[in-house]
Amino acid sequence: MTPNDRAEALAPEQVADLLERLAAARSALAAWPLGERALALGRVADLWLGDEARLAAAAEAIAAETGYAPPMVAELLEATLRQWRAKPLRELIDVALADPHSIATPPDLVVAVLAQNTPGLAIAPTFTALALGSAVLLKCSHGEARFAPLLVRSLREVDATLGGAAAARLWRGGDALEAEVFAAASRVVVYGPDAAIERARVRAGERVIACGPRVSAAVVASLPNVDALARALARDVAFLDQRGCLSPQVVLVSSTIDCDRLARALAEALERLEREWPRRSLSLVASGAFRRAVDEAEARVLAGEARALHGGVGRPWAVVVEEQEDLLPSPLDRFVRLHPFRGPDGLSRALAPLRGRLECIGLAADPGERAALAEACRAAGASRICGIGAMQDPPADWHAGARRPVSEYLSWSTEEGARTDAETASAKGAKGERFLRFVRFVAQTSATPRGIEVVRARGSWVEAADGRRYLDLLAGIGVAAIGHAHPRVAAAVAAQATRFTHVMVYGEDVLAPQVDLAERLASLLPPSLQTTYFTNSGAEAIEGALKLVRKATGRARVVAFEGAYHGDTTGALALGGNPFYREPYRPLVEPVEHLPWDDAAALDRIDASTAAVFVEPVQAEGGVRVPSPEFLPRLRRRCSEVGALLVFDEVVTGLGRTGRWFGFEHWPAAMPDVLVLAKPLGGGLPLGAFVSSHEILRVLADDPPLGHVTTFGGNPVACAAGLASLGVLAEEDLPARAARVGERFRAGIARLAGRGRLVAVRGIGLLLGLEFDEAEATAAFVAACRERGVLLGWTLHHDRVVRLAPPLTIAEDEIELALAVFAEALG
Amino acid sequence: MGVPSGTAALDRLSERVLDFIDRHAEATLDDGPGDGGAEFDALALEAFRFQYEHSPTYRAFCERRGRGPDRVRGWREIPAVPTTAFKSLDLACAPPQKTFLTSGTTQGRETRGRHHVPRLELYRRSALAHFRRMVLTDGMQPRIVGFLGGPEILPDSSLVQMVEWLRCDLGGEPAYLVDEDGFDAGRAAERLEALAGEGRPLCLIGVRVVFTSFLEHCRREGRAFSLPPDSRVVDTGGPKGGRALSDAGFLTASWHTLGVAGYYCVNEYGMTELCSQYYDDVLAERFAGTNRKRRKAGPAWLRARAVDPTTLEPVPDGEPGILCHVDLANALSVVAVQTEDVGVMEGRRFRLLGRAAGAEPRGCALALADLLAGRP
Repeated sequence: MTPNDRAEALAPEQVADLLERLAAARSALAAWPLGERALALGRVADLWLGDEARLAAAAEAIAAETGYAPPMVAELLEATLRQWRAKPLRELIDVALADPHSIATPPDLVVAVLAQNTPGLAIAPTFTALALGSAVLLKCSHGEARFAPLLVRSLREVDATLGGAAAARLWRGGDALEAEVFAAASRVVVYGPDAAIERARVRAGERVIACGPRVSAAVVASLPNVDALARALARDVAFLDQRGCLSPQVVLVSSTIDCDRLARALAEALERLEREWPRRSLSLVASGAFRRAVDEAEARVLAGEARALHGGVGRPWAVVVEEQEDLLPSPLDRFVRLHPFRGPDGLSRALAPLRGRLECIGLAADPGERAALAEACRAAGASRICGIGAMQDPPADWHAGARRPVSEYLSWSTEEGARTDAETASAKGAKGERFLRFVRFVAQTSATPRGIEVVRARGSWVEAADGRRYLDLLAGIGVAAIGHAHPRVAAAVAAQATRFTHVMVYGEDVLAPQVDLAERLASLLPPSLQTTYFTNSGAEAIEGALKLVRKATGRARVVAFEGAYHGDTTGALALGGNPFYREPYRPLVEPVEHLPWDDAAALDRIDASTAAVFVEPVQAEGGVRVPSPEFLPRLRRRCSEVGALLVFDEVVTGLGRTGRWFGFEHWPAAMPDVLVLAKPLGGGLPLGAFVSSHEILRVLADDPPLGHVTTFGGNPVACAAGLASLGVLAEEDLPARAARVGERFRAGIARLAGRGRLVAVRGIGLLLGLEFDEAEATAAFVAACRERGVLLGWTLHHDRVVRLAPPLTIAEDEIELALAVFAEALG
Repeated sequence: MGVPSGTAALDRLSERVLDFIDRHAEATLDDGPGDGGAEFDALALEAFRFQYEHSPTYRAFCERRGRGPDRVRGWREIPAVPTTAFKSLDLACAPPQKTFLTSGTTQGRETRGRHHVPRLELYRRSALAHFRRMVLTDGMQPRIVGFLGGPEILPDSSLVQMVEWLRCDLGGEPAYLVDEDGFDAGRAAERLEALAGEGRPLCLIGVRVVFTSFLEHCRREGRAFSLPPDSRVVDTGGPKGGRALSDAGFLTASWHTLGVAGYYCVNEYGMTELCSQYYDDVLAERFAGTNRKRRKAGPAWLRARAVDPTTLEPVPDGEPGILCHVDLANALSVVAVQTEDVGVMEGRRFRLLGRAAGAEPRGCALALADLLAGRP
């Protein structure tokens, strides 16, 4: 097959055989786990995205049939395929399946009627159907029948079963053979005009998923940079010559805006865009419609009924500035009217005729006005509101004016009556009933929680409700340093709980477990770090340290590092080094400056106005980044020079993880003034601490007294657990073990470098990072390991690094097992 | 509207056009010796310059198009006003003797085009001359029977005005078969029967939609007529909306129901915005002894060209384009008019095409035009 081949015509006598073959391939495909299907489809997307020539050839083929400019088509294909890579595809499917009330049954056969020729239209229904384990039959448009066969072919290239479950054909709508095809389909997805949808409904009734024609508009209520906005708006208008439902056909301009200026800028932008994305040559009908609209606009301008006409006469685009608020009809093909509106009520009135058909609003508005205008758009039925310039870049499942059409592919049923939890859980498959309640009643932090229903954990192992056992190389993100459910910790907790749990807030009473733990820590630490302030978590300890350094120095400015992670409370987040996580929650604590990590030259920015510098001796979430040997000592010197305090965040590195008791021991010339601990500190119970000298910590005790308190910090049960855990760490000399075993682990992984996109392994002790050369590979690796019973995860701030932080007690044979699984997963 | 001191110039121009019409009423329908082409060109340019000077609206239109008299060298370059502009603009060089209105509504809004005609005689002379040439080629004097409303019902219709002039010229009482209550096919049939019985050849003239209603009624009723020999039928487009027979269907029905042979069925192509008309050349050709495929033919004072809708540049003969007309009978209003009709030029004659079916990429956009059209 070459890019010039169109889809084959389907003859009536071929239908039965085709359906049978699809069904057979579908049976095999449905037996794969969902994760494996998602990964395979991700490889198909990667096949296209990694091959410029393939994409270009497909774009040329589509352009030849539709007339759209090839660069525009190529851009659309690439943007669409990116949405269907393994990770976003898996998220899409998981979200669709997470309905707490019903059981989902995937379709057997999806027939997708592509009665439009939007480039790449076949991608969404094909990937959705196959991901759900359904076969898919694509009915190509007579106007563009080249891309779908190319897509099916690429499926076959990746996997024969995957490819065997898909086919692309041509047949005439309404033919008798269509009755047979539709009868076999569990779902008929129709992308096309109302007539095509109605025809399908006659045959397939409620099995039809209708993706009919829609209208979009742009709303401009603020104009900070008219040229930039005009350029963005022009791209949205010109894309696919306005024949896509996401292009604005009308621009509503607030009466407070200089509409003439916008119109002129838009006209210039459309003219410039002609060079990059020339409008296709119009048929006589289309050019007649365009001509008619231009002539009418011109006459109305001459008659004083409209304000201005730009382009149109001899130009393949037109911008008309209207006086009236009521919308006027306009053809497609880069003809756009600018209508005025007054306030949210005026916007509502203007949009009223579009109700029921409104797809997307591109909105440019100041924050103060935005909410009311967006509400007016929603009231008019807009299913998507985004920025101007982003209209053509919707989420993956966006082709039906609705948020989750993936769920429409599925059949949903409740099952009422006597049923045990086990039966229900079994009916729901891998995700049990409790998972659905977890999703419903427990606040979620992402769309894709790991979702293991844990029933037991011991040592390096976690056991799930479905009986699967997982080797845990994450240890709850470095918390279970002595392994899960250590009997000494359990005994200590039980014993303390029977004596007393919480009696009084921190700092008032003398509680033996707290005092003992503080003293034990002091025995492990240098003279300058003898006093401990207990908290409930690492983030709380950071918050306390932040207040401490300001009070102790009288300075407000704090310095942290790019790539840093110190927790998610407001102060800790302000110190965090990834703006992606900070931005949505601004304003945070200020002033905080972030310096480049491991850059000694930047340390000059630490000056006499700096209260403190917060640093992780090894950046964990930042991608397991060990600094160069001189960096931390130079940092120490600089802080001393300017009188700033040096705060080491050893929430991850503390208590043996790096092969020494504390991370700073690797850099003796970099002794911190304040040390922050948490994670393994409580032996699995919530416990954090910030440690410093008595002199420094004393500032929190007065002026005012009780200036920093905590109810649960240093809770006796948690301290008892922490003390027991510290005992195990010391008796078994686990820090030294971490160094030895960590080195062996690292060497074993290093031998796998170069396979499956693994580039390098780095780290220190039993804090290891596996670096891949692209983000999708990390997701694929994590998923593959999980499928094979090994748990690990990637880092928050570095999407190409997989992080390992296993219990320090991990056995040698467990490491061998992990390495074997890695080798398989890397391929 | 217009400049009083232009009246003399207006009268002069009017006389020159009328003279041209009189001298060229029987001129060849094609390019060639005796077609009056050079004189036509000169008169067209004169009319254009007159309009440019005396119609501020038209001048503004030309300036927008960057085409003033200094840049227009021949009739083909005269900026043609789109018919749609007649809805918004008043285009005339002098106060009108009559204003004709286009029929029909546009997408729910009552917006009718206005053609202001300062000298009706230009219209009358042109209409009668070419009608005689193309429809009464054999010199017959049939009685006019109108399949449309009369002047009392449609006082603003240019077609009705033309038919009324024809009736008066040819003699005979008014016979308009559409009245205040609309068109009743049964009553019309009775009337036609009576008129046919008088023995004089009839010329049935009207809009295709009304003819269609009549012919279908007769077919259903099993009714047929035997019109007097040399009777003929002239149909024209008329208002949009309503069922209309195709060209082939119309010819067949005319033969079966009216007994009028195809070559006596002549289609007229005209519009409110033009004072002159084109007719099928079928009857003229027959009496000339030739027998070619029907095309539209205009008089020497009316010329057409087909242009590309996007660029407005002329397209070669044989290729479809939208039709623009230069009509000397419009010398005092708008001499060059651009239509929305698609045609294929063959020399000076042309074939009209219906809405051409194009290979249209069908995207997922619902055109605003269609969406708003669906509104009541």
